[in-house]
Amino acid sequence: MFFTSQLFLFGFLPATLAAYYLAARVRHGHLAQWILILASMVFYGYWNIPYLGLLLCSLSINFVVGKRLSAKPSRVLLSCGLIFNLSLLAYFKYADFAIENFNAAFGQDVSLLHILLPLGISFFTFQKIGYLVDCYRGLVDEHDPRRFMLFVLFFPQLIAGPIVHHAEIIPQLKRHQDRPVPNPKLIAQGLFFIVIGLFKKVLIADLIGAYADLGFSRVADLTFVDSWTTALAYSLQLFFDFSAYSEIAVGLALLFGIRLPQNFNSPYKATSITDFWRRWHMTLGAFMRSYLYIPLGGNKGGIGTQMLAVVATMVVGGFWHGAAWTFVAWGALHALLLAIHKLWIKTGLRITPSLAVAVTLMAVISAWVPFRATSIADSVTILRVMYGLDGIALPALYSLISAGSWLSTTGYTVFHGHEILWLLLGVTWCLKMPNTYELWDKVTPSFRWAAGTGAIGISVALSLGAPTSFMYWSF
Amino acid sequence: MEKAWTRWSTTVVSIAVAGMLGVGAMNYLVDPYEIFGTSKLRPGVTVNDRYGKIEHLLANPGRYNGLILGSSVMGVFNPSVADQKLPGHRFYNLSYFGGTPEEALNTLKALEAKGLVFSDIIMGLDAFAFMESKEAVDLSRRPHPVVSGESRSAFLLSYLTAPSFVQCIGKLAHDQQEVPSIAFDLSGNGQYHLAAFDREISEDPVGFTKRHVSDPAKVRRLSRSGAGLDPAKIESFTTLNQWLTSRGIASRFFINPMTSAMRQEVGEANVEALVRHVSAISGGQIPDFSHLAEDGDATFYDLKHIRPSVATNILGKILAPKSL
Repeated sequence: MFFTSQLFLFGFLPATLAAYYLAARVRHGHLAQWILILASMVFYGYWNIPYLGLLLCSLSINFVVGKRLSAKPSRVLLSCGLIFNLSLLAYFKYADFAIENFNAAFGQDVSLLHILLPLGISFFTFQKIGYLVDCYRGLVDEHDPRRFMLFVLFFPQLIAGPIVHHAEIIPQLKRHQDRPVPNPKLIAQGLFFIVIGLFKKVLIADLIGAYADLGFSRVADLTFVDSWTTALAYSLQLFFDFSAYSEIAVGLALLFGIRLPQNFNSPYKATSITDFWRRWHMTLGAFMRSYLYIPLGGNKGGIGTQMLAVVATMVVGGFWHGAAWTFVAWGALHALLLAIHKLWIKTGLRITPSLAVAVTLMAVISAWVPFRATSIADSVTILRVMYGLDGIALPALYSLISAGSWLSTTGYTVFHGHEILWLLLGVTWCLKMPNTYELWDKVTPSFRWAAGTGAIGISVALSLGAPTSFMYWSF
Repeated sequence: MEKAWTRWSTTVVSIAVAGMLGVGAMNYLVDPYEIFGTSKLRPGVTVNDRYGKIEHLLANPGRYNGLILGSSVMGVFNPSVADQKLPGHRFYNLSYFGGTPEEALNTLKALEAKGLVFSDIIMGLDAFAFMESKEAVDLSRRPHPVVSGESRSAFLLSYLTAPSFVQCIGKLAHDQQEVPSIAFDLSGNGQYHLAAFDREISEDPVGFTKRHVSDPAKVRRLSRSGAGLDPAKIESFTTLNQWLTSRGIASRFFINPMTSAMRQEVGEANVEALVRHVSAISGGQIPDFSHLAEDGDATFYDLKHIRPSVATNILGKILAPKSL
């Protein structure tokens, strides 16, 4: 059930809201929370009932282990809990990848398992790992089964985050049971985030995605402008798609009076690659920092330790996104960029903020190529063309520019050539416009803002219903 | 202040709901995909032929005992020609826009489950459809719920809330055209007619071919992918053939005609490989019309689609007594 589907928007959500508010109005916070748990199970079970069983089983085991770890911290028990969670992830997500590589390395022909990946497993596995580690560290003193279930299952964040931390959610749920009806401003903010998120998804990301799909499906044919069009299209598609998903999730949660953490903060405005990781998929970044980078030494060790920690964190982060070498390459590329940035800081040299943004953006866009490409070889081909290593031929549309210069034109291009101009407008939007949080700070309870938001809602209504999916659902 | 925010939310929801209702009303009344049967307007170019044709067959059980299957290339094949060549047969053109062997099999299975059985099928195969490609995601190509297995109410709801503003405008514009670009005969024989093209041909046959078949700009837009045949698509043809054989259904396959630009795009080697594969699978030399005619004559409507006269010619050849 996608957030953009009719079934969700016109069936599941209104029914859940009606049942929730009915329970909440009669001041029955506990019942309201059980309704949210039941609705979340329906949300997940609608996709696959056996995997709902798997989710509930994993949830129960983690709750019991967490409770015991809080009562009596044990490194053995923590290891068992972590191995259990990581084994589930390894089996469902990485088994076929391991078999493929084993077959390739040893010339074997072991059959692939073709296991269906449980939706959201990457997200809820990290969520539960964080919970167990914090139980072991003595940071969790709350072990209410209902609140734990809702913390894990809450449908707005269940499938693709934001990766919520128990310390952000469980205390809210404790207060929430006494005051389950959110104040009207929270509801208004929730609506605003949902409308803006839907707009970004169906009217921007899905349209731009067609360009990215075309470009990545014809790697061998890409020319210079084509390759930049393809890379830019994917960079914008991914940002608008995933930030839209996160904002819809935040908006949905607000309708039930729960605040989910911010996941994006204008990442393409970052002035360095380190800054980028503070702005892009912020909840994943926070998780990786707290549970991997810092335990590995973080910034406290020497430069060598720091570099190793960066490489390990980013490669694991890349691999977390998918079972393919292209994701590992993406993680490694970011590790390299982060390492370069650390060394750059040590030189004491500085560049202007706008140049810093431009350099960071170019690096990020280039790194998205292996993230999306179907193979390392395709990534190398695209990057070679992007950086002119295979010559620069412009589409015929640019014949005025190329006339009299060393540049040539070609009629054989994947794109007409004007597409990149629209995409550059999109990049400019990302660089200059306020993000949804900043925009919300400007919203007043006036008719003008309500009508404007409603008008965006109508434009979404005119575009909903096309078969689509959120990109991060597959990670 | 709280009241002001409540009013704000109410306004947003009211406007959005009004928008949704407007979309629903527009979709229901204009019906750009011809799902609800509520519009008096001339059907546009976004007709969901998969839905309309299956609805017609389900409403007329036993009326047909033969089917013409395949992609839009097969849409111009006139079933009555096949009826004449094979006395005692009543064919229906069940080709789909973008139809594939896999989809043909799914359709036949669904129809069988509903008690509709057929003794004969005629199916043209497009070489380009056996190359690796992304499946088109388009509401005009969504399978009938009987075929896809989805609930009918979910299917109808999706069309009620479909993003079809452009399609509605397109249908309104099509209704105003003197001659329709395309006219489907879903409740007749399943064939479609490209009336506007036919008129253009009658007025300027040479110019038509230059504009639509050999226009260098159109030829350039072909993908030049250089890919090989997709094993999964060959496999789906094998499965279709096995299913037809197991049911004792007489099947006549052939390779559809191709323009020289399409042959170049697909690659001669791929066309030859396809002929070899499907001949081996179907157990006999498959008629290959990929070189039937040159582009300059009255063969094609565009880079992919043949004209009805060519289709009739092909039916004459494959249904001639000697080929049986």
